Amino acid sequence: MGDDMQAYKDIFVSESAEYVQSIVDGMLQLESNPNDLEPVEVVFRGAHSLKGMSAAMGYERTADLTHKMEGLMDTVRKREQAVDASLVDLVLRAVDIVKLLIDDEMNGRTVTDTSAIAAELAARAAGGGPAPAPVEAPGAVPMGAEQHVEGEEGGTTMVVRVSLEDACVLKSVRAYLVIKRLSHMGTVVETHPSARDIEDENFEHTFDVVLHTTELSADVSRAVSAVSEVSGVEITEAAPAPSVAAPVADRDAALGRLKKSIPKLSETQTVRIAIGHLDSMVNLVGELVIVRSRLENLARPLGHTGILETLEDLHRISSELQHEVMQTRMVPVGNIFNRFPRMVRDLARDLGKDVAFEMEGLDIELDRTVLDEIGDPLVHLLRNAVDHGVESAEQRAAAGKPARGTVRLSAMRERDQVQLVVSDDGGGMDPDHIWAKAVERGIVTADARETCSTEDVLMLTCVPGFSTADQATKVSGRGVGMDVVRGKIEYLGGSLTIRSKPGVGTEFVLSLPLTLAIIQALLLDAGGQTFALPLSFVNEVYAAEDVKVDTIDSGPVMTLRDGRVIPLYRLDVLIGSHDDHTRPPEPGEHVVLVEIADQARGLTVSRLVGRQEVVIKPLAKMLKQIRGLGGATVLGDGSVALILDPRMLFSMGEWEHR
Amino acid sequence: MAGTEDVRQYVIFRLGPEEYGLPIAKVSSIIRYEPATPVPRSPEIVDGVINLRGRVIPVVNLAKKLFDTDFHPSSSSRIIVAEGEAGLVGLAVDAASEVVSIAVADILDPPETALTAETAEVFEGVARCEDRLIILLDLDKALPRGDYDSSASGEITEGDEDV
Repeated sequence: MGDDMQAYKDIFVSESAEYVQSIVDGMLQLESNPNDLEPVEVVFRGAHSLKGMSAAMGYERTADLTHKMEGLMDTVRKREQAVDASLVDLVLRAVDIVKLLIDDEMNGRTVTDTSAIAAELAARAAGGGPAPAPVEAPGAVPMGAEQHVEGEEGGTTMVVRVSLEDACVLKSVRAYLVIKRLSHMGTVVETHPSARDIEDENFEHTFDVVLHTTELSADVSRAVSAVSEVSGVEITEAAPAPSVAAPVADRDAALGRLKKSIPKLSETQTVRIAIGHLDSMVNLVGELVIVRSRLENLARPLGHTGILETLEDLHRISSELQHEVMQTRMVPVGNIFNRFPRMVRDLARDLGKDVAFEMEGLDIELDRTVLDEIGDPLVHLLRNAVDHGVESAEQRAAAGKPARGTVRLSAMRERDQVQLVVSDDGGGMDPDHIWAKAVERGIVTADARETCSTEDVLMLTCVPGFSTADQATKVSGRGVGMDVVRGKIEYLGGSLTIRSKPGVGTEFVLSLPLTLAIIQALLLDAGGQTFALPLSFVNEVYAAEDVKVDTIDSGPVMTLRDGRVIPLYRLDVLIGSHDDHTRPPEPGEHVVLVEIADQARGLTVSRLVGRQEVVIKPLAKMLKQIRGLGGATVLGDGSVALILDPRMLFSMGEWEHR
Repeated sequence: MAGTEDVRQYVIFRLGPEEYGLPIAKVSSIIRYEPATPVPRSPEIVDGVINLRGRVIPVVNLAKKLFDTDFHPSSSSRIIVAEGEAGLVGLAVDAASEVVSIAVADILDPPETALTAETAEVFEGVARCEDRLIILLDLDKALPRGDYDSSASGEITEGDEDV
């Protein structure tokens, strides 16, 4: 019996939290656009559902208060009164009390006083508010709507036909590099054959990429030809095809639909599953994939058509299964973003600032484990943006900026990463000020200034011990410093960059891995051992013969086609099986161009093995501290390959050589 | 102790000249020796990692810890897969075949003269079993902890990289 009650309580808590959230969302939407009454319906229904649930549980105080909220929203719904800031405020305060009441019920207390708020709700419902304004003509565009339109206007669509040399061994890797390069020049609309077939090397020597870009076809052609082993590039320009305009239009339509579809509260078809089950499913599927590739290795020499065909089916099915299972762990970022509008609003009020908060890309999905961890860092960055980023009204007026500041949180998908950007249009960060402070705190020495780029200087704010007393206001000084934010992001396998222009604003860019468990990797040999290098860091692969090596400061460097000179490392030296780091790449060896946050380095390896999807297995605790390793994976033959973490790999080497 | 003696079971393995015992509850399986994939910059006594039915586990060379010698695999070599505080770990041993019951009363403190400072803490005691002397291991004390190399693994601050 007691267990039953507890189970009901659990359900009540999780469901009531959803309704509370929907009420908060609805009210904030109403506040930003008081003439669109659709959210009223959401709030009304949310309050109504809460009332019913609470009454069923015998939580009468909660039922009574939500009944009064429902009553008030009913008058708004009937247009008996208008939505204004005081109404939004009142309902939000009431929601806060509801949360306290629910908390009370769970703990068997009745400490929260509801009389004041109940009286206020009743008074307002009885007609204490202003009369509604006449309904605005439909078609009025809400402010800021045009911001949804892509900045990239115009451009052309072209079909880029790429041919690889007959002798090309790692076709899928080359194709990946070509497509990656093209995606930097515009939007890759589609490929023939499909991306998956290209991945699986299901193409002869040519493939087509449909690209929408503003670049000239000659430039595109040059960029593609620069990838080694590309033997030919043929570009056909298409007329500005409707098929390209369509996705944009579709998306706008989808955005419109999204807005409209919010009220449907109880229609989502979901099942709650314990996370443990999902985690073990991911592990099992990972092992299934490994067993599959072992089977393929065993069967290939037999050449039995029946077995090979069945294996192909198995391959397809297990790939799909893997994809589906990974999908179950993916959660839209909106799930954690939804609490931010209220937070930013309250914070701006406390600070007496006028701040518009915009969010974008709420439907972008991230792995649950990543998402769970990223909430606190985002809260910190948003607080910073409102508190330190956006200036006071007087300062803004003096700088000729609109009185209302803007803070924006957006999510974007970029290759196998998701970028979360927190930006503000505030005063920006002053590098000289930061530098002076870092010197004062003994983090850097004053004369090292010339060697630091502006970005390096901005990153000093993330060094432990930088956070300063005059920064520790009531709002931001809550223990989480920028060093903790950065640490958390790096722990998740992501990176943080800061961009800021004095007077214009600041942008914090968090790049996070989409998922933690499975990655595309380039397998390579060094020191007689096979390693896996995450493909997302690989920019190009050269044969040793094609690389021009020079020496600067007794360290080997190579010159890229675009004239950049980059340092050259040897993997066998980095892993400690060789000492001579000055040894240039020898014939037969390869140089992998590794790019991390705009920094390129050459990595010499003895042999390229191929490209493969690998399941990341964590390393045992006693090995976790090793820099430069991101885990291990089991290869098709059952052997273990270590996964390199390029972000730490080179710092390990630099350490050594000094 | 009402008549029946308190008895514990140990997996016995051979390493160099000595016989060692590990409480059976700690042992998850015993597999044929296989060479491990070396892990660069790992603690000296870690041989590398192996694939144990889809899990990647470290293999520890106890001979390095106990006698400061390398491990020389032979056809009788085994890997004892044991559950330590830090998860599953493999122990490379010269042979492992039997499980013996040892009465608690037969377990003695290790003779102090036989121990060096490094090895003293990894022994739980010695037991006389018929005419053999078995050294009982404290697994977790014998394994390296993750913090073995705190100087090299300390966070590089931005300041360090830039200056």
